[in-house]
Amino acid sequence: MVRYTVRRLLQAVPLVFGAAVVTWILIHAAPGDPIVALAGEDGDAGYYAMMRERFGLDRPLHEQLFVYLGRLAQGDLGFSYRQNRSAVSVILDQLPATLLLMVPALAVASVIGISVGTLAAARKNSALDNTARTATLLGHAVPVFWLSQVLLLLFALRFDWFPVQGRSDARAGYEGFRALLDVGHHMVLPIAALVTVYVPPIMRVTRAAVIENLDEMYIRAARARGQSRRRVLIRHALPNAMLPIVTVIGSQIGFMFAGSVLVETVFAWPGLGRLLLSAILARDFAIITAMLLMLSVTIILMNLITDLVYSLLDPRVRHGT
Amino acid sequence: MAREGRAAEPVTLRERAASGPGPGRPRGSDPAGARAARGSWRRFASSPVAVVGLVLTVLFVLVAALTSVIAPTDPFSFAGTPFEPPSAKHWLGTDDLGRDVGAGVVHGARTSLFVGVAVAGASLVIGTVVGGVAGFAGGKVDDLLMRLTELSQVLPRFFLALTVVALFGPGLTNMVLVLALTSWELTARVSRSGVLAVRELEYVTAAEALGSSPWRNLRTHVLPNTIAPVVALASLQVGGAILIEASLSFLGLGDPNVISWGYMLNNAQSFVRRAWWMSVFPGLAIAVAVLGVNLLGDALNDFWNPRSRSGGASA
Amino acid sequence: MTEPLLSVEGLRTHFFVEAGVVKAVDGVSLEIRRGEVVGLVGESGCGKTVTSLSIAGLIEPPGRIVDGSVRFDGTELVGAPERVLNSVRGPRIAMIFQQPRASLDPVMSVGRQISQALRSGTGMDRPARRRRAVELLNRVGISDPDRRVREYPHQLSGGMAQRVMIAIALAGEPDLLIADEPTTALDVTVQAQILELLRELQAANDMAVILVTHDLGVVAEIADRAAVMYAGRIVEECSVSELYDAPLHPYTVGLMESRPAASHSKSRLRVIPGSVPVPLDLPVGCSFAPRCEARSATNLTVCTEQAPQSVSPRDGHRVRCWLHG
Repeated sequence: MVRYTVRRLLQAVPLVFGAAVVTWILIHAAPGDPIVALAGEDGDAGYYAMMRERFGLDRPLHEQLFVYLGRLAQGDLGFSYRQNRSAVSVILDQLPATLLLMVPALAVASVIGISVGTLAAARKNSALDNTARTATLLGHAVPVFWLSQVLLLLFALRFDWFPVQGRSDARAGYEGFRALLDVGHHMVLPIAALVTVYVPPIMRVTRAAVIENLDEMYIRAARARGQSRRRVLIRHALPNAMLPIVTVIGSQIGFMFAGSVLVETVFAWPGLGRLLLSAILARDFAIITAMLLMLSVTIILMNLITDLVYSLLDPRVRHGT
Repeated sequence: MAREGRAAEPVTLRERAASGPGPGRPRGSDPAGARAARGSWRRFASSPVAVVGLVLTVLFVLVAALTSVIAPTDPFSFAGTPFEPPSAKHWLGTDDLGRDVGAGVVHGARTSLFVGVAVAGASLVIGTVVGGVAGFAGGKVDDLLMRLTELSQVLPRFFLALTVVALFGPGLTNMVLVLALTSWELTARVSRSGVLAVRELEYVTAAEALGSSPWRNLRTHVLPNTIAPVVALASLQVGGAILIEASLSFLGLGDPNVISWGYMLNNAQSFVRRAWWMSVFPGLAIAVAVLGVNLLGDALNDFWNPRSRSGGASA
Repeated sequence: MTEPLLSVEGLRTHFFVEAGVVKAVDGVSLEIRRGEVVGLVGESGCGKTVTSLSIAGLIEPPGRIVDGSVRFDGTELVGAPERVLNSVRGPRIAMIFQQPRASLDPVMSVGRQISQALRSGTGMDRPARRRRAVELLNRVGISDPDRRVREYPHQLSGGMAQRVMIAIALAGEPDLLIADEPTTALDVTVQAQILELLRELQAANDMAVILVTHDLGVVAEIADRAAVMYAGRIVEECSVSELYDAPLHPYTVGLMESRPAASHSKSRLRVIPGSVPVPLDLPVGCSFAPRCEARSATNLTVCTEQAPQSVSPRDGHRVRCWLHG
C-alpha cells in the first residue's frame, strides 16, 4: 500500500510539471508582453518593473522557465494589480462560496446517480431504465447556463418560489438561523442546475458498471447460495462497480468547476465564477492563468486521491498484488 | 473489461475505455468486411437512438447549410422594435436592439456546426498522427507521446480554452485550435492500439513484412482497420466542442463578429425578466443540436467502439 | 421405492436471442435419489450446464424454462416464487462451478462469503458464523483456516478457491450438490485432490451429487450412475459400470472410444466425426444422426425422419436410439 502510494505520487509529479510548463508557454506565446499575462493590463510602470524582476522576465528565456517554476513552488502564481493582492489569495477567498454550491450538488448528484443507475441496471430496459437513460442523454446536451436561466425564469420569476439572484437577501438583514435559512433558499436553484449536469456521467457509468458486474460469475455463485436479487445487487454488484464510479467522479472535477462557474454567472453568486468574469472584463490575466494552473493541479490531485480511495476499497490493490 | 483493469493498479476509465478495437480481424475490402458493414447498417437503422440522432443531426446540418434560404437577413440588422414577443412576423421575437431572434438562431447553427466539425476534424488528425507515430516508433518516442496524452487528459478543457481566448483574443480559430489540442487523447490511444495490433499481425507473417515498407503497411493495414473507430470517436467531440464554444461565448469570450447561440444567451442574461424568448430559443437550439450529434456519436461508437461508450460526451 | 430426492420431467430451457430460439435444453428427464452421485456427461454446448442452472432456478433472460417440471423433495421449483427458491438454494441445493476464483466475490473476504451461506435458516449469530466458517475451511482441508478466513479471493490458488467454494456449499448441509465441471480449470494433481474431497464429503454427509463434466474419467471415479447428454437431450442413462462395459448409444460408444485411456498406445485416438450441431437449427430426427457411424453402417432412414423416444432395453438402462428401439 505504501509502495503503491509512493509510486502514484511519483507518477503525478511529471503531470504537475507539464501543467506548469503549459501555463508558462501560454503566458509567453500570448501576443504582447508576457508581463501582461502575469500581471494584467493597466498596471503602472513601477508595478510592471517589480513583476518583471519577480518572475525574471529580464533574463534569458530558458532561465525564465526556472524562475517561473521556482515562484510556483513557493506558491506565487502571479499578482493582481487590480486587487493589489496575490492571485492565489484572491482565488482562495472566493473558493468557499463556490464549494458551497459544488459540494452539496456533488453529494446529491452522487446519491441520485448511483442509486438510480443501480436500479436502472437491475431492471435493464424497464420503463425506469429508459427514462433514466433519456434523462442522461438530455442532461449531457443541455447547456448548464441556459438551464440556469430557464430555472430562474420559471421558479424565481414566474412562480416566485425562490430568490432570483445572489447569495443572501441584503435588505432583509436576517441574523442567526434565519440568515442561514436565507442562504439555503438562495442555494436551491443553482444547486438544482448543477445536479442536473453532474448526475448524467455518474448515472451512466454506474449503470454500465453494475450491468457488467451482474454478468460476472460470482453473482451467479452468490445467487446459488440463496442470496436474493436485491442483496446480490447491493452487496456484490455495486461494491464491485465502485471503481469506475469513483474514477468518473474524480475525473469530472474540471467539468464540475466549469459548470459551477457558469451557474454562478447566471445567479450572480459571489464565487469563482463572478471572479473569473470580472477578471475577463478587467483583463486581469494573473487571476485567469493562476486559476487554470490551480485547477490543473487539483485535477491531478483528484485523480491521485480517487486512485488511492479505490485502492482502499479494493483488497487486490490494498495487498499490493 | 473489468477484470484486468482492476487487478494491478486502478486505470482511469478513459484509459480502459480506450484500450482500443483490439487485435484481430482487419476490416478491409474483403467481402466479409463488406457484409459486416451492411449488417451494421441494418442494426444502426433499427436502433431508435441512432435514428433520432441521425434525424436531429441532419436537421441541424440542413439549417446551417440553408441559412441564406431560411433567414436571408443579416442577424445583426434591426428587424423590428426591441423586445417584440414571438409573433407571426418574428416567430421567435426580437431582442433588445430589435434584431430577429429567429435569424440569430438560424445563423448561429452555422457557427456551432463549424466549431463542432472543425474541432472533431482537427482532433482526429492530431490524434491519429500522435497515436500512429507512437505505435510505429515505440520505445522512447512512444513513452513521451503517451505522457503527453496523459497531460492533455488532465488539463481542464474549458478553463484552458477560456485562458487561451482571454490571452490571445476572441476568435473562432483560437477556440477551435485550443479545443482540438485538448481533445485528441482517446483518438490517439485508439489509433495507437490499432497500429500495435496490426504490427503484431505483421510479426506473425514475418515473411510478408520483409519486403513491405512501413508506409505501405500503414496504407493497406492500419488505416482501413482504425479509421472507422477513430472517426466514431471524433464524432463524440462535436457535441462537447459546441457546448464549450457556447459557454465561452456566454461568458463574453466569443467571436464578436460572428453570431452564435452563446452570444445570444449572454445578451439575454441582462433581460431575463423582460424577454424570456431571448433565453429560451437559442438554448433550445444548443440542446437539440448537441443531443442530435451526441446520439449519433453514441450510435456510431456502439457499432465501432463497443467499449468506449462511457468515455464520451462531456464538456 | 421411495420418492426420489430430485425429479426432473420434460425440462425445456430455451434462449430467445436475436438470431432465433436456442433450444439449449429440450426435454430432459432425470431422477436422483438421496445420497446418489450422478454424472451428467457431454461435450461443451450440449446443455449440461443449462440443465444444472435450470434445476437451481438460475436461468436469466434471454433464457427461460418454457416447459417441464423440477420437483425437489416434494416441492415444485419451476415457477416457484423467488422467496421459495432463495430458501432452497444454499441450504438444500448447493452449487459449485468451473471457475472457482471468478465465482468468489473479489472484494469480499472468504469468511464473509461463507458466513452469507450460513445466514439463511441457521439462526446463528455473527461470532458463531465466524467460528463455523473456520470449521468449514478446516473441514475442506485448508490449512491455517484462522488466517484464510480473513483473506480475499485473489490471495487463493485455484484449488484453494474451489475448496472455499465447497466449504460455502457445505455450509447449509445441502441434500443436493450440483458440481459444474468442478475440476476442469484446475491442475491435474489438484483435480485429484478435489475429487477425493468431494467423494469423502459426499459419503460423510450422505449428500446427493450431480456432477456435470465432459470428462468420463471423472465420472468413473466418483459417480454411481451416468447420464449422457447430446444437443439438449439425455441420450443414454445407466450405471457407470454399464457405461464402461456395455454402452448402447453410438454417441456414448464414440465418447468412450475417444478417451485417451481407451486407446492406450495401440491405435490412434478415435474421434467422433463432425461437430455438435448448432442448437439454433437442430436436424430433424435424431440430433446425432448426421455424425452417427452406426447409422451410416446400417442405413436406417428413420433416424433422419423422426426423433427417437427413450427406451429401456435393460433394467436401469435407458437410451434414445432407433438401433435399440
